[in-house]
Amino acid sequence: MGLNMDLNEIWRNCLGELEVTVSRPNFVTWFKNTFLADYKNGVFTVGVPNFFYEDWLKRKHLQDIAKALSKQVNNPNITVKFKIGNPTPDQTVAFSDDKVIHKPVDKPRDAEVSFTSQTLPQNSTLNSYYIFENFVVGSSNQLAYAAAEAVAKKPGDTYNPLFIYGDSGIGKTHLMQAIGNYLIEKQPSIKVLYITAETFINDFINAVEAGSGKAKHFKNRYRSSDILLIDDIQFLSGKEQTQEEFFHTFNHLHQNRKQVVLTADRTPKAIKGLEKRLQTRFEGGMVADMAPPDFETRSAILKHKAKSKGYQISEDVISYVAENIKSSVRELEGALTKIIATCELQKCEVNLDSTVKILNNIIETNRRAISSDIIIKETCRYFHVNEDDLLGKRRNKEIVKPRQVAMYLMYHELGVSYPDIGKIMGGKDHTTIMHGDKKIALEMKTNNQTKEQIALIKEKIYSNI
Amino acid sequence: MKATIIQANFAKALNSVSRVVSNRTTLPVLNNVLIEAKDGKLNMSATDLEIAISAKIIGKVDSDGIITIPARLLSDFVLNNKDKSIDISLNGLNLNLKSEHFEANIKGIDAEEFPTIPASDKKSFVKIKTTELTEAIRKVSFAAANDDTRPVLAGVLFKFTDKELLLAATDSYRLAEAKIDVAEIKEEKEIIVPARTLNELNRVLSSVELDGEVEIVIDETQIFFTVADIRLVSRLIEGSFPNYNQIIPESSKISLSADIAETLSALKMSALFAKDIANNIKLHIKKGELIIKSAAGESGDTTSKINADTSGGDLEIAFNARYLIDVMNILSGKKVEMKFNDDSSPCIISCDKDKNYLYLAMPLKTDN
Repeated sequence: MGLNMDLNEIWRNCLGELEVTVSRPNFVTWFKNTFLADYKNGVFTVGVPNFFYEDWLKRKHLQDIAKALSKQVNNPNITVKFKIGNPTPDQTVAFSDDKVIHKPVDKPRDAEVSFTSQTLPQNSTLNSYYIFENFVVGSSNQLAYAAAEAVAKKPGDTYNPLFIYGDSGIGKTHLMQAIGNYLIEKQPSIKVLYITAETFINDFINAVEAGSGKAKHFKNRYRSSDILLIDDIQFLSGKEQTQEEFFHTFNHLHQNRKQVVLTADRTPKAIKGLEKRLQTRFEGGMVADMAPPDFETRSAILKHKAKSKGYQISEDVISYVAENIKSSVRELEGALTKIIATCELQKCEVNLDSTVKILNNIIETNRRAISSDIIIKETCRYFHVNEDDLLGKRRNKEIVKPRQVAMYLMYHELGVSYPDIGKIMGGKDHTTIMHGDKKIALEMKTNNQTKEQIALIKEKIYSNI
Repeated sequence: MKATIIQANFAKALNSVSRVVSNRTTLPVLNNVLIEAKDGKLNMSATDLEIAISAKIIGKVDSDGIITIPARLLSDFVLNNKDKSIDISLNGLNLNLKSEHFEANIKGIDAEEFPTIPASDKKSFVKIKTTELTEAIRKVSFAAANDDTRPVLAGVLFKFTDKELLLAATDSYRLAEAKIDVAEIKEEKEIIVPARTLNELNRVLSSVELDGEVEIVIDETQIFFTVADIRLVSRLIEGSFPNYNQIIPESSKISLSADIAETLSALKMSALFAKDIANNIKLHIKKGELIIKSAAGESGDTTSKINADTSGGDLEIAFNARYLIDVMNILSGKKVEMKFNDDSSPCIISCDKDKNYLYLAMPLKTDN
């Protein structure tokens, strides 16, 4: 036992190293059910299930295995042999697909060495980059950030569940995982389970298919977590059986004051095909929205990102990118990565000229994809006015607001100049356009209703692409 | 690689090997079949890393080459293709298939990525008539355990003794044993072959001509079955098979002989009512008859009565109906013979025509 434990430890470390160099499918296929059978006089004997594995490992990975093993025992002159056989129970290095990313380490169960315990952090599904310190707070995400921080400090206590919603790519997952990462750091024994709703659904289906034994395992897995983080919960929509199961899981955790955090792309109410009882439960804690970042936040994100990559990027480049890429943080980061990578490749300096050139494609497609026609059409549809009125000269209250909204949108989304907008809008003076734009811009800051209206129309416009 | 293959031959080879292509998606290359043209011969292989099957494709080879191609897509293309012959040629990693009416290019994966199909330099260990091997496997392998909790029980024992091959399998609730006479056996040997391998082998054998022989080669850790143009390789199960002879009773007090078909239909009838009570049925052996009852379950109960020659007295004994139905399904004679001692000892089942077969089932323990 003692010796086997040592061999297991060596093999586990060795696998940890190999996992980095070997592709995931290859790793899972070929190293599953392998074990270290023996180590004597500088000769390692690796146990494999059958000929196929022996042949493959000899042919493709002998060097890697030898290197990793020799590192483990600090002996450059080792030999690796293979033996076909089954491991004894205490030689088993369990390969589980369990997504439990963090298990208590003080109680190893039986002699089984779990592959997913924290000794191999690369197996964790929490991204270590997603911590609170790396999250750029702005007016658009302040509330969600504060709520997440509160939850992380007092899990199960303040807001349970915490429901974060917003468009894709604006940092919901980042916040959610930040809670997990924060808690793991503070309490290493805590069990954090991070999954996507899709995984939950698949797990559930598998458990049902496999019968009662697996179903119990499924229940235990989810119900024994201290913190349950589920991404994209809107995918539960229409999955009645899974919702039923989730309802019980949720209740169990909630009653035991375990924290649940959920994200979705819309509010609980707006998720069609979600049972009422789940909806009310989701709304029972804290529902926090995240809007796309504003210009200042976008700039701050870019600066932060550039700094973390070790780059100093000038203000004008930051402003240009922040001004032109608006939809999500993901795109913003993508643009920055593209700029840095291209400049590095072409060995040119990161400046405004190169940036404009590199981003030309991305920005142009965004611009070209929507047109003034679409803006006019969607604005009219939203406010229920007809196009002729919108482009006409009447000044009723019902028509003035939509008209100004269209001006605002053309200016900000298309980047058309005031005089040109004037022409499009049926021959109006550029000062009229400017006035309309400024009025809406002001309302965007003060009037929530306007803010929401604009967001909805924009969503429609971009869904046209 | 360039070759011309008659569609029917192509389809036949694909049928033989593609069954073993794994469904797992972790390693894409395992969804593929390996096609190799070498020395004027064309071969196809597939593996799920436990079993590998290779088949020779009869065709005209113009130039050598090797590639792996997605099995599903290739099968679908070839099986749906009604043209007489198909020309294949390899361009890089793309396999071009062309026939009178159809042409396809299928993207392959480099053969370097494919596991080696094992070969053995050992000499043939034994040759067995195809019909006899198939029959013995059919009668034994179903008694093996379905899960891997005890690995040896998921396999079938192959015990070679003087002029005889004995096959046995047990899941610890029942046991099946069959013997085959073999002309010449070089040495005594005991190996355990996974039951799954044998089921695959039987499927392969069902597509070849039955009057031939299967050649068996045994390596330290593997077994090779070769028949016609097909070869199947599998791992062997490590360990020693339980010594089951001690549980076979030497004598029995009560015996019964009944028509197999009648017994089977009575058993099936009772099983209908025993689904929700773990297939629990009761056999009442009385003078001249066998009564089969399903213990009262939620759906109701049933009683079937059949004529039987009995001797040794009356007995009430409970069984899992599955264990009796399984064996009745494969018995080939007219009469089944069942032997008992009491309601807690195993029952021995055999058939009047087949003296080389033995089946043993443990009774269910019931509280009342």
